[in-house]
Amino acid sequence: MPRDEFIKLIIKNDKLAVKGFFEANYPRMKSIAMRYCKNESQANEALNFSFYTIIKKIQQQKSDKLINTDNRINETEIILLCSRFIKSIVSEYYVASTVKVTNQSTKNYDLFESTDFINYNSIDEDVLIKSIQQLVPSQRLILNLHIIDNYSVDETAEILDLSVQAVKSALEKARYYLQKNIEKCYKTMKNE
Amino acid sequence: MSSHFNYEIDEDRIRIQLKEHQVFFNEEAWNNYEKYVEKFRVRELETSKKIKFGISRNVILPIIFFGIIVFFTFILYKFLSIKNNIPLKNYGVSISQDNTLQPMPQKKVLVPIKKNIDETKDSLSLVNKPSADSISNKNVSIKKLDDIDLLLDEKNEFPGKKNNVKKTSRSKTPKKNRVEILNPVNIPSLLPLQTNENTEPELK
Repeated sequence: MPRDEFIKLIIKNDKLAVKGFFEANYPRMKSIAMRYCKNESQANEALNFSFYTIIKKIQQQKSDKLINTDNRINETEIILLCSRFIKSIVSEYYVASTVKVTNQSTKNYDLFESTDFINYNSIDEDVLIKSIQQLVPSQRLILNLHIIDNYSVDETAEILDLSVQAVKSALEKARYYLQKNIEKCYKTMKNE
Repeated sequence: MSSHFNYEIDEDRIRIQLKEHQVFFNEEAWNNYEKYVEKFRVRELETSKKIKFGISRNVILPIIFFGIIVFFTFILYKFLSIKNNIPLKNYGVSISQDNTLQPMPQKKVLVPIKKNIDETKDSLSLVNKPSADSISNKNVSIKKLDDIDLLLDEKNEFPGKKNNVKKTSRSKTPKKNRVEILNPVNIPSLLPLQTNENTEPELK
């Protein structure tokens, strides 16, 4: 279906068109939401929020750049909406992050203590996503934006309303905890 | 963080890995989305109701108050006649261009009534004393006062002819049409018509 016709149907709130649009974009949106959120249920919420916001924007004709030529949602829009959703959960984004950071000194995460060899070049997808989900929200966002979605440090700082220094600091921590979480995941898997 | 930390993750690799990662669509996801949208629709309906209430409150109440004010002003305007009674001469405007003289309206002259009696007496005998008007209207004949021939003044204030005109009793040969007009006598209007307080005026 041509893009303009498809947009017209969405503006009319045609249920079939909206469902088709949802179906076409679901795999990519879900995968993005999964790595931005702490678990699957939160990822579903983020997905619903993002898709609903995009549909509303299209219906209000606020932006033409939301839909690409192949009738798919622009990935940047999904990423920004997911970031917004995570930041909107204030209790998690601000409070949970600080609590986790203050408690971290009590545990020893020295990677050299582990005797098992982990091949970091072939990490399982589920382990990788789980390890990212275990990060505190601020670190998770920064890691996703900078490392996976390839935003620069300045852009990341602008999106999250943070200073560049804060982003760099959080990025360093995120890298450390990501590696540690991967190791932990493999350990638990081995124990099970 | 440990100073011995060695970051071994290949970021490019995990980027490609995660970008290619996709989840398959299932109907449950669509149902979840529909439920989510339903919540928003209910919220929108509630907010729209609230907005309607707000509009009605802000618009209807002033209209009602304005209506009440207009109603009261209309009532006041109906009952109170506001006319400008100030003569226009004061404003330097001459109206009378018609020079023809119009006859003056005849003024009714009332007989001045003087109070010669003490107020205390007056108040006591007020019920019994007839006023000048009552005398004129009821044609009171006064018998006791012989010296006074006529009670009424020259301006014919009182219409009764009997009091104004009196036939002379001295003429031996009374003529039918001969009438002697006496000079009017100024009488104090509130003369004590009755000297005695107890006597009542005789009425015909």
